[in-house]
Parts: sequence; structure tokens; C-alpha cells
Amino acid sequence: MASPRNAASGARVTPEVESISSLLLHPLLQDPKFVAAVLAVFLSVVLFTCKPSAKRRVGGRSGTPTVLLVGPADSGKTALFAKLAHGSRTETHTSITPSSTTFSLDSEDPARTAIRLVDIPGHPRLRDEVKRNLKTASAVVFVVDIQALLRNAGAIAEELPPILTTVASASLASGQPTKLLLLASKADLLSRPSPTTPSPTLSASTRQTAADRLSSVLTREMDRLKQSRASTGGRIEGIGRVQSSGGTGLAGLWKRFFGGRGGGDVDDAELEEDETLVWGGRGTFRWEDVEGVEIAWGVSALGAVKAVGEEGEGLDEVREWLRSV
Amino acid sequence: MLDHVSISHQSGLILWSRSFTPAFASLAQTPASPVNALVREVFIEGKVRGEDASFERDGYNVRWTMENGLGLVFVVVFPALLPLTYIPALLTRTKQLFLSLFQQYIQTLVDTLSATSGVLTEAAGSALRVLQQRMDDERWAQIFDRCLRNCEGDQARRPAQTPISLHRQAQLSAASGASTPGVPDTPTDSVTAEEIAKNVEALKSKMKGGRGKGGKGTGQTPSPSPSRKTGAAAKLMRKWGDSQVSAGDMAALDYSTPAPETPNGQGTPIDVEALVSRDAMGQRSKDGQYEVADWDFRGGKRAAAEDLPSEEEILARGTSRLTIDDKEDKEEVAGSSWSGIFSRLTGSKVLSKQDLQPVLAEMEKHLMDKNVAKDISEKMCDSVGAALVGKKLGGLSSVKSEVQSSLSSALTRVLTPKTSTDLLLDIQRKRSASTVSYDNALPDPYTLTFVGVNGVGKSTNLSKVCFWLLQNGLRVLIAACDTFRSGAVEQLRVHVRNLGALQDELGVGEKKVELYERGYGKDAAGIAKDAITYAKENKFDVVLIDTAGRMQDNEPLMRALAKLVTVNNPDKIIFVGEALVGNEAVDQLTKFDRALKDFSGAGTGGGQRKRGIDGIILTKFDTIDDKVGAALSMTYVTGQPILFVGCGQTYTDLRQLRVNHIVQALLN
Repeated sequence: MASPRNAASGARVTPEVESISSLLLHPLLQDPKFVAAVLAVFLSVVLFTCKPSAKRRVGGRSGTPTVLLVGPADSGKTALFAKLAHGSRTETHTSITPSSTTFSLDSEDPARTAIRLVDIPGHPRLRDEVKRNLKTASAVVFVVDIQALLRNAGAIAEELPPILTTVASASLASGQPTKLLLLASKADLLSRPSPTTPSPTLSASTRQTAADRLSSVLTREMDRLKQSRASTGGRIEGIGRVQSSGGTGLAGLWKRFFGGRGGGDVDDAELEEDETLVWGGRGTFRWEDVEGVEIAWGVSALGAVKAVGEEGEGLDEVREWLRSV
Repeated sequence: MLDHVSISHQSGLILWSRSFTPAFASLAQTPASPVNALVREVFIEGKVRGEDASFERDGYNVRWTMENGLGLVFVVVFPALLPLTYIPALLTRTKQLFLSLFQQYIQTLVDTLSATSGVLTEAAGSALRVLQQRMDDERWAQIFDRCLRNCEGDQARRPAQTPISLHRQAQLSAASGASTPGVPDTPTDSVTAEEIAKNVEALKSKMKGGRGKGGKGTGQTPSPSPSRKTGAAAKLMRKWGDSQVSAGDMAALDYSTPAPETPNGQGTPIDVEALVSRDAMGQRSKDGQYEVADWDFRGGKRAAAEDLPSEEEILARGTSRLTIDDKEDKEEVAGSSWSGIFSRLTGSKVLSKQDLQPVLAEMEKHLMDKNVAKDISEKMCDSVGAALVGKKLGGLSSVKSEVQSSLSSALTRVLTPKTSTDLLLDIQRKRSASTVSYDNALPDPYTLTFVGVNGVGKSTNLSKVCFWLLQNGLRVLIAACDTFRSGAVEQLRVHVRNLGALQDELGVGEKKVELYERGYGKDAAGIAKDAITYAKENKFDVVLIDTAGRMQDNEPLMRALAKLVTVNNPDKIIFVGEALVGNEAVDQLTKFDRALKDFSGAGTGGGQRKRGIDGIILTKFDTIDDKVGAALSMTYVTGQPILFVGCGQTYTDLRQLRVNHIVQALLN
């Protein structure tokens, strides 16, 4: 560490020395020599001590609870997010990136009612995000467009088992049940004539229709899924981890030193998550059988896009549920 | 004439949008809107590369530009039939104006949207409302209108603009109540001769560019009088709005006219004339032909500019901030890397193309080493680069790690299937659907067709799939439609015998697998049809159709394959490809897909939907170590999922793809 030239001349003898030299050749450390190197070491120490603790804080169920908005695309997640977190009804298009905001449900008691709301894109190609975020979530809202549910019930229901599985195994690991709200959004579009106020109050009959439709369709589809998936015979395994041909460079060294405890092994453990947690025993599918998940049902109304006028009670059910988180 | 303009954030929030036709206004709110299609297909699925390429959907042409630092998307939609050449200029101009006006407010909003910590901030709840309020205050709608008019050099489209100016007028009167006059009005007092000259020059250069492209448009309007009339009408209406807002300002600006004329519309012609006489002098001497267009154009600009801050001023506001950034950059380049380290720590290092270039080139080479096809690795790296330029480098992360993480997520996105890969569920659905519709009729069997080039393992993997289906208690019929290669039928016969023996061993009474064969040299489509009929009569659940291997360039054979598909309409067409291929993978898949789509659609008069490849089986995966690039190439080309991976010699050597394993292997 005293002189970079010494280290550089000793390179290519053993991998350890090579790592130091490549560190020093890094553009960050090249110029201000010794002090910069010390600074970098110091910073990396700071980084490594801070990062896990930060992770723990978010991951733990203490502090601000994290609520996830998941569900198929075009079901109104971003609209719900904007309305809840920003208090305004805006137009939206298909999301590309997840967004998250911490806000308080009750302005009088901001500290205790604060929640972190995360809106996750619903496009199937971005399914990866759902899984990554589910680990830190203490509650999940599965948003379903009640009108689209009739058209492609199968595709919508098919998104549920992976979510349920991840949630179930996460809550089994932490010992705390995770809450899941199955939300029929855009329920106001079922009533005729369509109301034009933002988050209109739903009539009892509309609310009932939406709730019934959601639960009957989803239960039917989940039952069908169970029939085809719950059988253990003839299951196809996933491919194993592809052996890399000897990690070179810093990453390889890191792995060699610390026993290959990279991100991959953690993922491997999660892949073993079993869908049996979801399917329960024999017979038809029952929501109570899903282990470690408290399932609730809800209906929300989020008016037409260009709505003006008095706010209704269309979102009260969601707010109430969020308060209970 | 445009249809729709929107400015939105990547999280899906539309910050500002306008539809110019009522039809599009209602379309824009549905999931089927072209903007949604653009986001899905271009940004998420990555079908079109680059902002130069346009995206067409339902007769609309969509152009866009991104602002990566803030994650903003600027989209313009216009009819596909109109060759509007000024759109790129409009997009850049709009982007510049919008950013220089609202950058700090957007920054607050974006910060609240990406807040990972659980800290409650005051600004979080109101950021969106503040931005919207701010847009009203600055009269962004009008600024945009002016920008649009400036870009529209074409006079023929003027009449169509009148409803907008009406709309604008209504907005103006609404906004005038809310806006405080202080901010936008003061700058107009200082419109000096110098600034006018600057504007004139900027406009001239812009007009020259516009004329070069849109020469046809100006040629179409031979008589100057109608355009002049409509231009005057538009101005009159604008004056109505102006006189309400800032009559005093007009008086202050208009040095030549006497005071009593200003409050009325009377003042307008004099005002414009004065401007014209000044501006036209230089213009006339050069070229008389386009003089009218120039005049009108500038006149419109002048009239609008009176109450709004000029574009140059708006931009100047923005650049004053930017120059500070530039200074930092310069210091970084010139001086010690201390400031570089410092700026990185504070997160102000902005990624530029030059920073990314070497890393991207390295990544591209790395991907090609992993047997990814050349143009695919190029495209992947290009799109990753395009998404990173302008982003701020946070904390201590190096350019390389930033590129790596964003490449990793891009790879995951490509490899993640967008349709269901659950074959069993599909089979079950089909069965229940056909039993619901006809009570007594026998259910239709589920048909899978295996296609591919020679020797990739179609028959072998067909038998593996067959074994898996048998394990799940389904009855399977294998149709030997490879009537060309000698021994093909015998090969399948052996497989069926083996599978049958396995079934016996596992203790299943009923015979569950059969081979349907009609020898060699016959028409494959006919055999497949007979096989499906046979399967239906004998209550088979699944029919697996084995086809002859063929090279993708052999048109007669590809036509024959398309005929088989057209006649039998299988539920899934599965392309079998070996993991050993490199650049060839792209060619194989595109040509198979293309041929199937072209030839199968043509056969039945277009009534039937065109069929492409529905899924991929990647074979010989055990032979490639970590060179798993073919998996990426194949999914990238078709957008279809890899259903299975074949990785050995026995019936059980069939696996499902694990996306993160492939991504890891690719990046390792």
C-alpha cells in the first residue's frame, strides 16, 4: 500500500497482488495516490458497515410498513398510487419503473399512520420487480380491474400463485403473517350511469356485485390452477445453476475468499419455495388454506379520469385496510 | 396535425398531456392507447431501437424522446399518413423548454417517487400538485402551443389549428385569474432590439431547416392570400386574450402606436406592420418566393410572445443552471480527481456517452463471448447505453457496475416470458372449454407441433415432453409427420415402445401412448389431420406432431410446413433449437417465424390469424458450459418464452428455464 509502483511490479504473480494492483489502477485511485487510497478504503469500510444495517431496517417489519401495489397491467395501480400518496387524480400510462412514496394516512397523527407505498409495474416482463419487492413488504394489495377480470380471468389468476408463494414463504420465515388485499378496482365503472366525480361513493348493490364477481371468478380460477399444479407427479425441475468457467478478476477473488456467498445462492434458496404452501390439502381450493397470508377482499372506485367535483367514499375501504396494516 | 402530446414520468404518471381530437382523447384513457402500446412494446419489450425509429400502431405514428436523468418521456402522436418532418425538432424543443421551466419541481417529484427509505417527508404528498400548479402559473399550455406553431412551418395546417387556439383562449382566461402577473410580465418590458434580432436569426435558421425538409408543403400553397387571412384571424383571437391579461404591457412594448388604440383589437394591425417592416427588410432581398410564409410565421411569434416569456428567455433560465454543471464537468476533466471523487460522493456525476462507450464495448464483447448473436448483443448494449446517458451516478458506484446492473435487468426483462408457460394448465383449459360448449361431443385434443432445422433434436425432445405429459396422467398420441428422413418413423416407434414399457413399469393399466404413422413420402399435413381425428375419436388428450427438419432458407419446405400449420391449426408451434448456435440462431428463428406468418396467413384468405412460433425448446444445453447466449438470442428475436431446456440423454432430462441463472451465467 506504501507505493503503487511496488505493487504494480509485483502483479501477475499471485492473484491477491493482482487484485491490489487492479484496485490501484482504478481511475478513482490513480491520481491523488496515497490519501485517495486511504480514503477509498475508509469509504468501503463505511459502505460495508452501513449497507447491511440499512437493508435490515427496510426488511424488518418494524418502522414504516411497506405496502405493495401489484397486479396485472392496466388495472389501475398507478392511479391508486397517485390518489393515495399524492392526493390527486391524474392520467396514467403503462409504468416502466416502480415508484414508492412514504406518506401518512392521517394528517393528525403522521408518525403512526405513515406507510411506504410501492407501485410496481404490472407488465409480465417486469415480474422480476414483484419478487424482489415482495421480500420487504409487510402488506400487499393485488389490484384487479373488475371489468377486465371477466375477459381474461385465467391470465389474471395465474399471477396470484407466485405472489402467494413468495409472500407465504417470507411470512413463514419471519413468523409474522403478511396481509393481502384482493382489490376490485374501477368498480364505479360497473354502475350506470357512470359517476363522474373522483372516487365516487358506490351504491351498496354495485359494491356487492363487484365483490361477488371478484371472489367467485378468482376462486374458480385458483381452483382450476390447483387441479393442474398441485399434483406432485411429473413435475419439471428448473435448470441448475450454470457453472461458470472459473471467475476471473475481482468478483472471482471475492467469491474464492468468501466461499462464493454471492447473490446467486440466496436466490437458489428462494427458488426452492414450494407452491404447496398455497394449495393446501386435497379437494377444492380454499383461500384459508394459504399459509401465512391474511387475505382480505375489497372494492375501490376511482372515478373517470377527467373527474371533477366532490370526493366520494370510493377509496375509504382501501384506506381503512391500510390503516390496519 | 398532431393527435396527442404527453409528458410523463416512467412510473406511469402523466404530468401533462393534450389530445387534439376528441376521438383520441377518449382513446388515450383506455389501455389500448398508442402511448401505452409504445411503452409496452418499445420500452419494456424493447422491440424498436432508438428514437429515430418511429413506432406505428393503429394508424398512428408515435415519436418519443427520453430524459434519463429525471426519467421523463415525451411522446407525440400523429396520423401515420402525415409525413410531419418537424416532429423531432418539436420534441427536442419541448423537452428543453419543459425542463428549463420545471426542472426543480420535477426533481422533487422524482425524489419522492424513488424514495427507498421510510422517511416521511413534507414534500412527498404535495409534489405532484405543486408541479401541476406551477404548470398553470407558467402557462405551459400556451408555451407549448407557441412552440408547436413555431415548429409547424407549414401554413396549410393553420386553419386546423383554430379549435386549439379557442381552447387555449378558454384556458388563458381561466389561468389569468390564478396567475400572479409579476413573473411572466416583467421580462416582456425588456424586449430590446438586440433580442429581436437574436430571435429573427434563430427563426431564420430554423425556417431554412424546415423548408429544406418540407419543401412540398410550401409548394402546395401557391396563393398567399388564404393563409394570410387565417393567420390574421388567429392573431385577432389571440389579441382578445391578450388585451384582457396585459393591456399595459402591450402599450409598453408598442412604442410606435398611440396609447388610446391599444385596448381594442384595432391596435393589432399597426403593431404587426411595424414589426414586419423591420423584419422583412433583410428577408426580401435574399429570396422573394418564401417571403409570405416567413412573414406570417414571425407575426404569429410576435403576437404570442407579448404576454409569454420568449423561448430564449426560458431556455436562458435553464442554461444558467446548466452552465454551473458544465463548470463542474470542466474542473473534473482538467484538474485533480479530487473534485471527481467529491462530485461522485454527492451524486452529481452525470453519465455521458463518452463515459459509457468503453464499458459498453467491453460488455458487448463479453456477451459475444457468451455466444450471444452479434447484432443482438449490439442492440442490447445500445439500448442499455441509451437508457443510461444523462443518468446521475450515485454514491460510489462505478460506471461499470452501473452498466452491469442495468444490463442485468435488461437481460432479465428479455428472458422473462410474457405469456403463460404452463402447458398443463393450457391443456386443461382447452379440454374444459370444449366440454362446456358441446355437452356430448368429444373434447378436441391439444396439439403441439415441433419444428426446427435438421438434427437439433426434435424427435428426442418430443419424446421427453411426451414422458412428462404421461407422468401427469394425460393420454398422448404421437403423429409421425416426418415422412422424409429415413428411419424417422422407426425412431419414434422405439420411443413409443420405451415410453409404453416405462408406463407398464410404473404400474398404469391403460395404454396411454400411441404412435400414428402412415409411412414415408406422404403429405405431412394430411397425416397430421388424420392423426388429430384419430386422437379425438380415441379420447387422446394431447397430440404431438413431429415434423421433418428443414433449413430455414428452403422455401418449398417452409411452405409445406406452413400448410401443415394452416390445415391443422395446432395449439402451440414449438421451435426446437440447439443451444450451440450463435449468430445462426437469429437467422433460423426469424426465417421460421416469418415463413410461418407469411405462408400460413395467405392460405385461407386472411380469415385465419397468422401463426408464428409460440414457444421454444432449447436443446443440447448440457454441451455448452456457460456459453448460454443462444437462450438470449432466441427469446430476443421472437419474444416467445423458452418452454423447456433439454439437457441430457434420458427422458427425464427436461428442465424449465430459470431466468436468473441464465442472466448470471451471461454476466459472469
